[in-house]
Amino acid sequence: MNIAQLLYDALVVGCFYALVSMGFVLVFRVSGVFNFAQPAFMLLGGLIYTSVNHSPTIGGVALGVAAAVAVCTVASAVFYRVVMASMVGRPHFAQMVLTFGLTIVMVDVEQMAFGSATRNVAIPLARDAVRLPFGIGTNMVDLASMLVSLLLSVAVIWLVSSSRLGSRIRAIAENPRLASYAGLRVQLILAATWALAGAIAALAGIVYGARIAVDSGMVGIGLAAFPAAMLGGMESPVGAVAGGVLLGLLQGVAVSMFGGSIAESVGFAAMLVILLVRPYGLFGLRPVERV
Amino acid sequence: MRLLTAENALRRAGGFATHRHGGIIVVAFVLAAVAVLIPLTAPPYWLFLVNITLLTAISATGLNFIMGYAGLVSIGNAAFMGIGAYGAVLVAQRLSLPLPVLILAGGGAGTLASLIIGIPSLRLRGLYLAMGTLALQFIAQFAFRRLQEVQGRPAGFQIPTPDLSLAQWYAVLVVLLLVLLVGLRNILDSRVGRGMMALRESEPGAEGCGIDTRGYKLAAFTVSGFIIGCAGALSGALQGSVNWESYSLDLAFQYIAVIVIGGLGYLGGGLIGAGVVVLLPAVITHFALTGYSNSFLVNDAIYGVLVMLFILLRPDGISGLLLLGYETLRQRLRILLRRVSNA
Repeated sequence: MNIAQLLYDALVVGCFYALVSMGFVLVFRVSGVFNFAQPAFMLLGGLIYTSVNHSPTIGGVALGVAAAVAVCTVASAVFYRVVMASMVGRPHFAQMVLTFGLTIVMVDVEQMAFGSATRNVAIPLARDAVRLPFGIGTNMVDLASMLVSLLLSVAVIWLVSSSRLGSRIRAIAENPRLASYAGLRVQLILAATWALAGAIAALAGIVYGARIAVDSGMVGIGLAAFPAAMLGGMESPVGAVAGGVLLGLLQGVAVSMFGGSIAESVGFAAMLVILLVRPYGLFGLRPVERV
Repeated sequence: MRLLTAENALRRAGGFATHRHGGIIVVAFVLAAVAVLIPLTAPPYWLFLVNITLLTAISATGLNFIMGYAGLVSIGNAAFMGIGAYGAVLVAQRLSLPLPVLILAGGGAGTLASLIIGIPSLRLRGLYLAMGTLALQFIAQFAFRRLQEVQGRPAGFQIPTPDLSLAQWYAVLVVLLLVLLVGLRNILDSRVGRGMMALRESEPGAEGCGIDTRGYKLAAFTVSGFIIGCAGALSGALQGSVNWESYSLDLAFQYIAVIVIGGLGYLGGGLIGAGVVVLLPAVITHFALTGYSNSFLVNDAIYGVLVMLFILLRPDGISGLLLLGYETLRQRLRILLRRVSNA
């Protein structure tokens, strides 16, 4: 197999994983919660987009994206405010179970409301084959998916590292009590972070839907991106990009050797290794334990 | 006269041991009567569901042991059940053994797997351990699938099983569950059990008290691995086939839902939660949703909502609610009796 093609394919998938992981990382960073509801918000975003927009024009895309992002942003913030905000000080395990529970309920309700048929995403791009240098074969949709995922991931990294909201998010992640003494509205910023994670999920859902399709299988794909966050380090957005690309590469190599059914488990096997060798991930912060 | 709040009642409950035993004996007799009546009266479909409930209860009790008492979070229940089932299948392919031995072989496979995942996991704390078991879930499911592909068995395997009637299965499962509950009660009342519970409350604290946290963690891992492995082999025998698709992440989460709803850290929690998660959807489908094509979605959503509600409002589950109700009732009764005797 062509090495350049393998690398390119890994990059396409990896950038998508990186985008999904941003949602895991953001929420984990501020609240220490593994947010397993992220894939359910991806599906919601894809379903809203395909319900709102059927026309492959720029205007239609803008409308669909706006609607999906708006709904997921609000839904995620509401979930934080109504459910998660009351869980402060409770075991992280309980919070994680809540996000699992939400996923189950959301996916079921989404299938009841929108039906479980597979939907195609309308976009103004042709799926014709495109040749790149080094003998790489691809199409415009894959190329656009990679670029959009990468741009959005970089935007999130910038937001967290350089914007005012980002510095507040980092302050709260460091020490919520001190941050509140400094006059930060902790609850509001936490809700904003969950909202941001919802928006990211909606965009990831649309990107994946455009490349493949929208159906409940997307939940499994979103979960398969989880090792990327873990590999990079749950607290690090930069690590999520590195983890995403690494995961894409590992899967590409494993699938070309053993067939498609291994894709999910190879990521989790890598995650198990990193957990045992370096639990805080490649780019994560080494935890300090206070007794 | 003093009014006692429910919390006070609970706190005082320890002081009235004789009364307490009286109540528990009554409850035990009622439960025994119900247990005998079920196989005599229930139609086959419902008896089958009751059997599934009992099986779920056995496995969930194993999970509750490690999560509710030792405080080690595991998302790997489906994987460990699968390892038990496939372990039994692999043994049965080589040796012709009776079912009880095969079930023990499944338990052995579960123990082995829990040691393999447990020893390196001693480095991990809190939810990182849960992530390790989540990884195991995906790796194990792939291994099951691969095994079926390699052996050319896309429809799954069978575990050689004697031809038992539903009522016979019921009797077997009830006895196994009782043996399990009594055994675990004894472990929990021993030094090991107390050490595990100290571990749950605070790991550094337990270590500071001279408790061998690593040893107790491994003990908890192996005991629950054995129980869940046995339950996995048993489920393969009861349901007639062992297929990789059954041992999914959904199933693993369903088991977490069972013990959260039933009551984490209560021995009866597994049985109560299994009753809710297995029987409630069937009851709802039977009485309210017959013919509705999306009924399985509704049922799924119901236990999702239930588990969220219990986490938010009653983290000690139905067991906690029942205990609270029982103690409140007893207290009210005693006040009433005192007032009657004073009058």
